[in-house]
Amino acid sequence: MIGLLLLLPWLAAAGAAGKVAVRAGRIVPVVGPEIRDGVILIEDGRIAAVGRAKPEGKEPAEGKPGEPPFVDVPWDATVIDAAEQTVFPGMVEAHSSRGLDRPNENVPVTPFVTVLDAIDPVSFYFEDALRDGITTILVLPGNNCVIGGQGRVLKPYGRTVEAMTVKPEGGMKISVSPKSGFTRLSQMAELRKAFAELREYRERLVERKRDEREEEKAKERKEGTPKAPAAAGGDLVQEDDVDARKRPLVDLVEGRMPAFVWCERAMDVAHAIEVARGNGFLARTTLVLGPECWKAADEIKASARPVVLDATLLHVEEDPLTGEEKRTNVPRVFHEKGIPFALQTETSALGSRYLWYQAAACVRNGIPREAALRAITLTPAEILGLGSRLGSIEPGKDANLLLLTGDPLDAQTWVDRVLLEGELVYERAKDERLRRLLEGTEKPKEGKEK
Amino acid sequence: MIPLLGALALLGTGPGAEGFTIHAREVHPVSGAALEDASVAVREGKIVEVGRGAHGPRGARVLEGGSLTPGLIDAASTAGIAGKANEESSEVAPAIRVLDALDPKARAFERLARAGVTAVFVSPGTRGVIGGLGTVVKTAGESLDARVVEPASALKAAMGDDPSRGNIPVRFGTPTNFYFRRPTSRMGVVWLFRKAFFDAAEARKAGRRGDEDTDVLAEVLEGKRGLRVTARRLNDVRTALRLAEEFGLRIQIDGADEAYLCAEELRAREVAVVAGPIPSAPSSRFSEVDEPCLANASLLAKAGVLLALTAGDRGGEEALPGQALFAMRYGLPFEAALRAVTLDAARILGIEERLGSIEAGKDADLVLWEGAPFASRPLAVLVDGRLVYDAASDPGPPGSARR
Amino acid sequence: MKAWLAALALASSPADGVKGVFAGTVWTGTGPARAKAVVLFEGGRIERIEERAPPVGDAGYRSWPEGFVTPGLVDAHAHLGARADLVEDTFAVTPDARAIDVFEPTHRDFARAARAGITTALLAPLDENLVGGLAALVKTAGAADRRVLRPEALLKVSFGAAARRADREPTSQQGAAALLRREIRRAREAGGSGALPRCARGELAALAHAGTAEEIFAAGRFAPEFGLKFNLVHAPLAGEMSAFLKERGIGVVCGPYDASTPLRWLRSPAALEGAGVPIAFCTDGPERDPEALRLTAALAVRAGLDPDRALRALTVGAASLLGATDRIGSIEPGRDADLVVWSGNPLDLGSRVLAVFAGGELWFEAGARRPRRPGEPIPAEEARP
Repeated sequence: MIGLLLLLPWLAAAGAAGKVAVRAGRIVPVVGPEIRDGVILIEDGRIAAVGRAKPEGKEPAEGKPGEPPFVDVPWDATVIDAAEQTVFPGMVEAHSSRGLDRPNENVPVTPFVTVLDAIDPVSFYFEDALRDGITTILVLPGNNCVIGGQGRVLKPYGRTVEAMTVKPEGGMKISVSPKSGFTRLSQMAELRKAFAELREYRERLVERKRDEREEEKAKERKEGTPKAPAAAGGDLVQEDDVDARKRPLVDLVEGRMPAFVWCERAMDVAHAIEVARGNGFLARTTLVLGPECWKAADEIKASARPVVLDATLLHVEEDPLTGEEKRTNVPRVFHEKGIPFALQTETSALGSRYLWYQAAACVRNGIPREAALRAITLTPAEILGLGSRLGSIEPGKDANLLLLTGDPLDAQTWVDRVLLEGELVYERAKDERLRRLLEGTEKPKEGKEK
Repeated sequence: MIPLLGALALLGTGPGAEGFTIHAREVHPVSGAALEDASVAVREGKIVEVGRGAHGPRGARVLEGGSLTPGLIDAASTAGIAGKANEESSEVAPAIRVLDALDPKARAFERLARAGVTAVFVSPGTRGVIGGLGTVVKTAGESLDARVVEPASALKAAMGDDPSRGNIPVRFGTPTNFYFRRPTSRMGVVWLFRKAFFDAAEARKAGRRGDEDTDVLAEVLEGKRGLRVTARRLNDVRTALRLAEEFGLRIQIDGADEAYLCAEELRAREVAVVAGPIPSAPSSRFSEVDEPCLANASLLAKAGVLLALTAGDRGGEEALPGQALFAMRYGLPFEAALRAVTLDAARILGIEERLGSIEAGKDADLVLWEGAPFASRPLAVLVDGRLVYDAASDPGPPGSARR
Repeated sequence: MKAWLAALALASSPADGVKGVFAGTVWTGTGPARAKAVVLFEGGRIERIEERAPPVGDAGYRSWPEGFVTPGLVDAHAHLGARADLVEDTFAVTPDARAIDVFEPTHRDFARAARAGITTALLAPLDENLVGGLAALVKTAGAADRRVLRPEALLKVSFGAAARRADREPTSQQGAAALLRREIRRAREAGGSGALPRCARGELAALAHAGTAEEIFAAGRFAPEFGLKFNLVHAPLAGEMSAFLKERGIGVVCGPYDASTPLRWLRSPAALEGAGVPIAFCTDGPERDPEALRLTAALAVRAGLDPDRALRALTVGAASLLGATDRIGSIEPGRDADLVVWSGNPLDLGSRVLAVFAGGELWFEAGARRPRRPGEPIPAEEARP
C-alpha cells in the first residue's frame, strides 16, 4: 500500500490509464474459474488484481482456499461500471493478411519485405476487429510467396502503424504450398535454394570477418598499439555486418524471429517440419493449416508445434467410389490429440468473420468450452510469444478487456466497451457506423450505375 | 453403450414406418405459444398430436432434445439448380420451369437437410426480366416425386442490373448472337416487363388463346399465381411496387437489401419480403447496394411486413439457421426470426396448409435441436415423418468416439 | 410360292447354303440354354432347335462342338458409318431428320461391329440436339436389301449438356424442357404424320439421352406429363433412381463403360435390373470400338449384374427395348437367323467370335480368308481373328 502511494505522483502523470477498477457482473478469465460480481484492478495499463468485489458495508469472511480473493477498489481509481456485463480478455487473431493494401508480393523470395509498409491503419478490417472484440492481430504477408516477408503484431487502434504496433518482430511468413498455377517441386526448390544461399552467405561473412580480424591483429602487432579489449572479446560477426536484406532470415535461423509456415494440404506438413528443423527454427514455428491438414495431425503432434486452423472448421471430401460425403470436425481432431490450436477469421462467411462465432461453432460441435475459449485468446497469444502479456485476465497481464453484454460465445452478445492497456478505446454507444448499420436511419447514397 | 446400440439398430430398421414420439424441453409450434416439456406424435408422415401427453403409435421411436421447431423453409434458395440458373436465349421466358433443371440428388439438399432446412423455394436466376416459374421442393424424402411440394410455384422476375448485364446494344458491331438485344439498362428492364404484361393483358382482353408464356402471365394477372421480384436497391423496390400497382399484380420481393427504407409502404401494400442473405461483413461491398443495413430484416418485421429469411446461395455455417441467428443479433426477436423461417415463409409460398408449423395434420417436417433453435445443432431432422438426419449416427472424426 | 421364294433365296447365295448350326451350347435368350443342339435355318430365319447331333456328312450343317451360340448382339445406341452426319444443329428441334437417310450399309464400321458379334445396331442421331430426329434399327451384316429392320424406330431426344449451347436456344436445361414442352404442344395442335405429332400421340417411342441425375429426373417427369413412351440412354447414375424409373416404365440403355468408368456408374445396370427396369447396352460406336459392348456388359457383371441378365440385356432385352423382338434378340422359331458362335460365354472376355451368321448366311468366320460372297470380299484387315 505504501509502495502504491509512493507511486501515485507518477501514476497521476500517466492520466486516466493510471488506476482503473472494472466492476464486473461476471468475469470469464479463461485461466481459472469464472468470477461473479468481480473486480479487475488495472494499474499502469496492466492488470494488478482480479477477484471478488467486497460486499458493501461489512468485512467479508475469508474465502475458502481456491476461491478468488476479495479485491478492494482503491479510493483514487477510476471505476468502470460493468455490473451488468461480462468481462472477457481481448481476443487474439494469430494469423491474418487483412488490413494490408495487397497481401502478396510477386517475387517469390522476399524475406526483407515487411507488412509495416503495407498496413492501412484506416482499413475497415481494424475497425471491425475492434468492434468484434479482437484486440491483438498478427498481420502477415499472404500465402502466395515462398518466403513472403515479415509480419507485425498490432492492436486495431491507432492512426499509424507505429502506434498500433504491439510487437514489431511478428514473424516470418513461409509457404511450403505453392500458389495456384505453380508446382510443389519448384516451391520446395526455391525454399531450399533460399536457405542454401543464406548458409553460404553466412559462411563467407564469417570467413571475411576472420580474415579482417587476422589482418587487424597483424597490423596491431606491427604498430604495437592494441585496441580496447572489448572488441576482442565480442562476437566475430556483429549485427551491423549483416546485409540488411539478409538480416531477417539470419534472425530466423538464429532464433530471434518466429516462423509461420503455410501448409495448404496434409502432404505439405512434413515438408514444413523438415524445412524448419533442417534450418534450426522448428522450435519457433507455428503451422498455418488448410482444412485438409488434420490428416497430418500425428506428424504435427510429434513435432510439438502449435497450429492456426483454417476458418473452415468442417472438412468435407467426397468418397470417389461411393460418392458419399465424408465430413471431419477439424478442431476436434486437434483437441483430441492435445495439439494447441488457434482459430482465425476470414471475410468470406457470415460466421467465420467472428472469432467468438468460430469458438461457438467448436462448442456446438462437441469441443469443451474451456478449449474453445483458449483457441481465441491464450493459445494465439502464446503463439505470438505474448502469452505472458495477453490472452487471459490474470494479474500482470495487459489490461486488454472486453466488456460484453452477455456470454462471449452467445450470438446475441455485443461488445459494449473495449479497454486496451487500460484505456477505453471503444464504446458501442458511440459507434456511429454500427448505429447506421443497425438502424438504417439514413438512405445510403445511390450507387453508381455499373 | 447398450441403449446407443439399440438406437442404432432402430435406425437401421428403416425409420418412418413406425412413427415417432418426439419430446423436447421446449416445443415451438409457431402457430401458437411455445410449450414447455411437451411431445409431438408423428405417424405416417404427418403430425398427429401435440401436447404434454402426446405419443406416437405403438413401437414409435422416441427422440428427445432441447427444443423442437417445424422444419425450416428457405424462401429464396438456389439449391440444386444444375447448370445455368437462367435460360439465356430470351429475356422474357415465363414458361420456363426451374424444376426441369433441378438435381434432386444435389449435395446442397443433403447439407440443407442436415442444417434443419426441410423445404426450399428454388427459382430461376436474375438474368431474365421474367425468368420463369419457381418450385417448392423438400430437401429429402422417400421418392423424388414426393419431394415436390409445388412443381410450378411463383413466377420469377428481376429488376435492376442483372437482367441487362451482358446484353449488347445493336449499334456495337454486327448482331451475331442473341445477346444483341434489350434490355441494356434499368429502364429497358422495366420496359420489357411492362411490355410482356401489357401484351398478355391485351391478349386476355381479346380472348385470344395464348401460348405457354402468355398463359403463365395471364395467371399472374388474374392473381392465381404469385410473382416473385428480385429488387435489391430502393429504386428497384419502388419500381416493382409501381408495376404491381399498374397491372394489379400480387408481388413479393426478394434480394430486398434496401427494402427497409420503404418498409411502411411495403406493409401498407401487403407486399411480402424475403430478406437476406445478410452480408458477411459490414465493410464488404455488395453488387448493387453500397452499404447494406444489417438490420434489414428486423426493421421490416418491426414495420409489420410479412417476412421470410433466406441464405440464398450460401451453404455451410451460413445456412438458414445462421441467417436467423444473425438476424436476431441484428435486432429481430426470436419469435419473429422463427416465424420468418417457418410459417411466414410457408405463407409467402402459399403452402401454409401443409408446412410451416407444428399442428396435427401437417407434414411431419421437424427439427429437434440440442439446445435453443439456431444457436445449437440439430439432433434430428424429420421430413415427412422420416428421420433424414440423426446426429447420433453422424460419424465424427477418426479416433473419436461416436456420440 | 413360298417354297419357291425360299428356293430363290437359297439359290442367290449358293456359296453358303447353310441348313443349320450345331454347337456345344445354344443360349437362346428366352428359354434355358440347350446343350449339344442344332439350330435349323429356313429362308433366312430360324426354323427350330433340336438337341441332337447334325447329320453326318451333310455339308449344309456347320458344327462347333465346343462353341457357345448366342443370338446376335444388339448395340442399342450407335452412330456407325455416319458420325458426322447424324446431327443438324442449326436448330435444336429437328424431329423429322432421319438417320436412315445417312445409312451406308457398306461402311466398314458395320463390318467391324459384325465381327465383334453385333448383328443389329440402333443408328441414332447424336446427343447434340434437343430433338435429334428419327433413329433407325439396322443390321450390321446380311444381304443389303434386308439390312433395314425399322427405318423409323425411335425418336431421339437429348436432355444432355451437349444439346445446350450458349449461342442457340436452349442455353439451359429448364430452357430445353420448356422448348420441348412447347414443341410437343404445337405438334399436338398441328397433328399430322410428322415424327413429333406421332411421338406426342404415343405412336412413336422416344429414346432420351440423359447425363446427370437432374436430366434423368427431367426426362422421367416428361414421360407421364405428355403420355410419351420413353426410354433413356447413357444415364450413368440411373441405377440410383431405379424406383423412380420403374414407376414410370422407363427402360435404360446403359454404357458404354471401360476400365476408367466409376464404380457408381458400373453399379447402375445391376440396380436397374434388380428393380425391374428394362436394360440394354450400347457402344456409341464408332466412338468406342464394337468390342466395348461385351466389355460394358462384363463390367456391369463385375459390379453385380447377374450374368444371364447381362446376356439378355445384350440380346433379347435390347430387342424388347427397341421394339423388335419379333425379328431379333432370341433364338426362337421365326426369328431372323442372326447368330454368333463364340469360343465360350461372350461375357468371358477371353472368348472370341468364331463365326457370325446373318439372315442364315455365314457372314464371318474366324481365320477364314475366303471371299464371303462374290463381289464383297472381306477386307484383309477385317479378317484378323
